[in-house]
Amino acid sequence: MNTLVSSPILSMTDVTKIYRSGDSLLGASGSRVVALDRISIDINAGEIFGLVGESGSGKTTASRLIVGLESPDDGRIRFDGKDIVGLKGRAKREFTKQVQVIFQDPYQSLNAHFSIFDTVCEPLVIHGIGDRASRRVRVCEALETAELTPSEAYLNRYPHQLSGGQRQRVAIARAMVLEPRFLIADEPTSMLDASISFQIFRLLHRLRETFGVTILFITHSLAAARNLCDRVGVIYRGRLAELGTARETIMSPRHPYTKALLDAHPRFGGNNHHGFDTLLDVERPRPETDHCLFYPRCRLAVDNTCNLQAPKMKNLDAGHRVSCFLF
Amino acid sequence: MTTALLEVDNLSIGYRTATGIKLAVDGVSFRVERGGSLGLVGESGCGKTTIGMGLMRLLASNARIVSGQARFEGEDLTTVSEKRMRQIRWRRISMIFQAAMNALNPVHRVQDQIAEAIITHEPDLSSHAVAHRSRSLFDLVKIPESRLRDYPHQFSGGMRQRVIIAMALACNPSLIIADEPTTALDVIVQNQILGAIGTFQKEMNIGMIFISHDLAVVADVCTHIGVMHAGSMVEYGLQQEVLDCPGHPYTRMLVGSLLTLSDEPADLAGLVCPTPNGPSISGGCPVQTICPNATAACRREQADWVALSRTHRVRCQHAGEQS
Repeated sequence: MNTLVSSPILSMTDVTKIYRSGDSLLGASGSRVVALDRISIDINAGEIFGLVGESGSGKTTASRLIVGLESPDDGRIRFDGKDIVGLKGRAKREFTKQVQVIFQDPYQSLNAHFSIFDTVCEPLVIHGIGDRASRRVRVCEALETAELTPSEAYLNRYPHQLSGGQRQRVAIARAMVLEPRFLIADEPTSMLDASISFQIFRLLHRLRETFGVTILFITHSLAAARNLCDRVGVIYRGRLAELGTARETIMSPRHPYTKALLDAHPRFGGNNHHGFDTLLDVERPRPETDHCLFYPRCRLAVDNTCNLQAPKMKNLDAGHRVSCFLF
Repeated sequence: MTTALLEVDNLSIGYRTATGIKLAVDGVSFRVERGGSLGLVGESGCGKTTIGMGLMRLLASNARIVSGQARFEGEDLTTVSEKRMRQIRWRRISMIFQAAMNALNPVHRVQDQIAEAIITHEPDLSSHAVAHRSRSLFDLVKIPESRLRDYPHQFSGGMRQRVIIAMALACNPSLIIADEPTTALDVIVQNQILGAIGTFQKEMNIGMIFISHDLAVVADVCTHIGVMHAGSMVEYGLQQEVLDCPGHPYTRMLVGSLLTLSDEPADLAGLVCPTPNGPSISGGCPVQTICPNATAACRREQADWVALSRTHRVRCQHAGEQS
């Protein structure tokens, strides 16, 4: 499939999100955490886009901004070409119908007092879709889509009667029941065993093949991103470090940070503690001025360049983009 | 054959439930050599943590060792008195816990916590010797001496886990049980911690039991691998043997579902990967409900161990029948 030529369904332009804490009423400002710093990503219709980063890198913040749980401090987010920041009323409901989220922890994202039927049916109730009979049909279809078969056997059960993998499938059914066009999967398998994770990946892959749903897949695992995604963006401390096809970005990374991630990946068989080519053993102090955020840890950093300004995204070959002064 | 550091023989551990004793660990045997490392791999609930807690005699109050032996430096850990166990614990066998965030006391300085670990188990040491040993431990795990007086919240997750490792090494143990020591850490930090654990373990000639659900991590640090499923060990062998030619269908499934980095992505749609959470069963092979090759014989009784090589054994009726 050639996803590079299709038009973006979701487009983030210079999106910035800053969290403030400890601001006092009298105007004294507390600390600021820049969770996302001028992130620009276009996600094409029908692709699986992976957002890869470590904990605290801002990948979950990105997903919260996209679904409108929070608003950006700066920048634009457009879905289907229409601005979605600050949507209200009917327009907001129309939008949320098309964008659904699967959260990380299926032990917390399902209401323990709701039966599986209530859980999966709730989005239909909220959006006022269908009547009693047709809702039941759609819930059953959604459960079958999530490979919970026979669906009738699950309708009257409660989350505590299900395994972690089954719960995550219920969460997927709840997301798919509205037939969304855009699905955000926020580390959907980090709480699950390896073989169950594999099945969830396979299910997500099948959802894309069958329904053509676009998926933003948020993960810290290079291996998962490599195997599931068409394109990936690597995010470091709120800034995009590298973006390109999954194959190019992960198998032949350009950014020193992506290279360090690849070096750290446990390799089957061989002994991989050969150290890092791009990572310093002892970190440099963080510069006062704007700088490349990876500068304190980067072995390849150039003094008087990387510590004085932030790098801009540069286009390399075939849609591969990297934010580093070495290129 | 030399005597192993730890020799576990037919160990069974059960939990008391309303319907009687339920075995969480069922007849598990393995050995750990001095300087060797055994990875216990399995999915959640397979009994791998229970083995670690059982060896430390730190089981929950409703659990007990039902049968079996665990010979460690000439003593049987399953029968020694609690008084003797207190002397063995931490001084001879120590543990690296999973949650680096919770294993440290937030209201004490890290140097005091290390010192406490040393003083508790070696009360005869002078305060000078304790301070000296804490400093050398910090040096060993590469935490600058200036941070000794810091509190845990001032440390990153990786540094906290280094403190935990330093604590585990505090009394020069001969066996370390590491229970998912890197699960909560980012991949770069995980790599560094695994490197650190591997280095100490080899340099100080310590035996290690490394408990993990992540086959890739185990492959990274261990010389031997034992694969657990539903309380039983189903395969045991050298790391390369188990990974390169897994003999048990369950191991093959674990290896198959391991996502690797390669030029071609895995065929997500094609790979057969049976659901590993079948109903609990009584009698027969523990993987019969998920095994594509299960026969009537598998449902009748659990297979005996079949030796595939001098170091590699597998518990399957059909071992060696197909590649």
